[in-house]
Amino acid sequence: MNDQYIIPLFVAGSLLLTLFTFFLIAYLLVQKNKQNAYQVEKHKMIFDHEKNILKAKIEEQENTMDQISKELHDNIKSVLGFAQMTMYNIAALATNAEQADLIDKTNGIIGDVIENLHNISHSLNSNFIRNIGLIDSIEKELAHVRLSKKMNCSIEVIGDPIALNPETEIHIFRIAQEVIQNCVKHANATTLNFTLEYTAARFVMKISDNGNGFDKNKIFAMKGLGFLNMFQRARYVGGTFEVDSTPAEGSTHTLTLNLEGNGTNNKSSDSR
Amino acid sequence: MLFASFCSVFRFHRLDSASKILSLLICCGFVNEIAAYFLAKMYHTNIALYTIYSFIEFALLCLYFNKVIDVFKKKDIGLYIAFIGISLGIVNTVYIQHLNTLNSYYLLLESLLVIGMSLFAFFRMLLKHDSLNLYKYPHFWFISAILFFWNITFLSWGVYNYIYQKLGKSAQGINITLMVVSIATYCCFAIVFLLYPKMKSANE
Repeated sequence: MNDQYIIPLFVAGSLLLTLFTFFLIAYLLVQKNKQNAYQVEKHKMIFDHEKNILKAKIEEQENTMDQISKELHDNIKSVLGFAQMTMYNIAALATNAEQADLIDKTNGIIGDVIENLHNISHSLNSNFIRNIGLIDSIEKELAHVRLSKKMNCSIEVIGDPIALNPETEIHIFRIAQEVIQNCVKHANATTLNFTLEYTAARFVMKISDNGNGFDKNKIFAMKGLGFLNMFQRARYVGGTFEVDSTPAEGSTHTLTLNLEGNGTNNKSSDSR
Repeated sequence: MLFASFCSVFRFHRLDSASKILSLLICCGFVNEIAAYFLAKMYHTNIALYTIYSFIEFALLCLYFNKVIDVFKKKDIGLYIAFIGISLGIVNTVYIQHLNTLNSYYLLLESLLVIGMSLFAFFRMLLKHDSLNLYKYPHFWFISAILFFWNITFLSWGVYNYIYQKLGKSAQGINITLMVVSIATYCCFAIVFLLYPKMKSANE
């Protein structure tokens, strides 16, 4: 090869490689951006789909609970009321003190059942929770537990309560209910403490008990759907739900809702 | 080079292990340049030093790619490439291009291997399905700079000896080109090291 061709060839080759490098880098940047955009879109679609399924599932649960509440209130409670009235009539016909005493006791039991049904019917009814608000609903639930289970229950509200979206409050209340149910059924706790903390940035509900506790790593291996429901509801309202428990040392459940940047969803002037 | 070394040392404690290797490479390069300058002044030749440095440089680059490329990391492929490359380089130095001549064949091989590893690193980045933001991924820019440098200098190493033998002093253009490319590459390194914390936080 002639020497005169070497330099142009060398320069052309180097330029070609330089161009190749720049095009390769540009191509990579564009391609990766496209890939990222596609991934974001895909994740968004999956998230939306899961959210829709979750929404339908939760709505179905709420409808069922509303129906049970209605049935308890309108049907069973009125039948029991009628039974109680009949018992009063029978009491008037009692021939001796022993009979009157037994009828009185039965009346008392029916009265207690009606009271319990009333409470259960209210706590299942989402409209009732919407009307009285989150704090009052929890207080009512705790009063019921205090009375029926002889448990020390307390609620502490830190900060100025912010009116959250009524739907969000229902989900928070359902989580609280699930924790109370677990505490009553499985934990053998004597104390149950609620702390509701309101700041401008976030809402935190902390529920702690002094019960049996459990291995927190096995919560999804448990048979019931309670924890799954709580996590799903927390995710649905855009919050995080954490469980901290050690066997024989009680447990703490914490729900955290970020209110910043989520204000339109969570804050509402018409609630409570 | 001084600027790039300074920036890399300044950010050293915040760098990941791969970037620390690159920082070490730049610092070694800087020390080598100083030593080469004094050797040239004292003995009128520094080719032996550059030959030895080229082995260190290749070993560090292979270590860097071994840390950056996930597949290499799993099976330590980078270390094998370093071993093979340096072995061939030593054979070249002993039998073909001795210490008193520029080891251009070895540099050509080194270019090929470094370009290959860079392209493979890009390929792996593209394959990764996580939402990696390349604009803010330091290793993307490090590898781009490495690819830029070795791609442009690739032909130089192949024809360096030939051009110098044939054209003599009129081939000074190659040296100037190499110098400009080196300046651009080290400036790129320095900028990435300076922006490293911001880039890292963006991809976390």
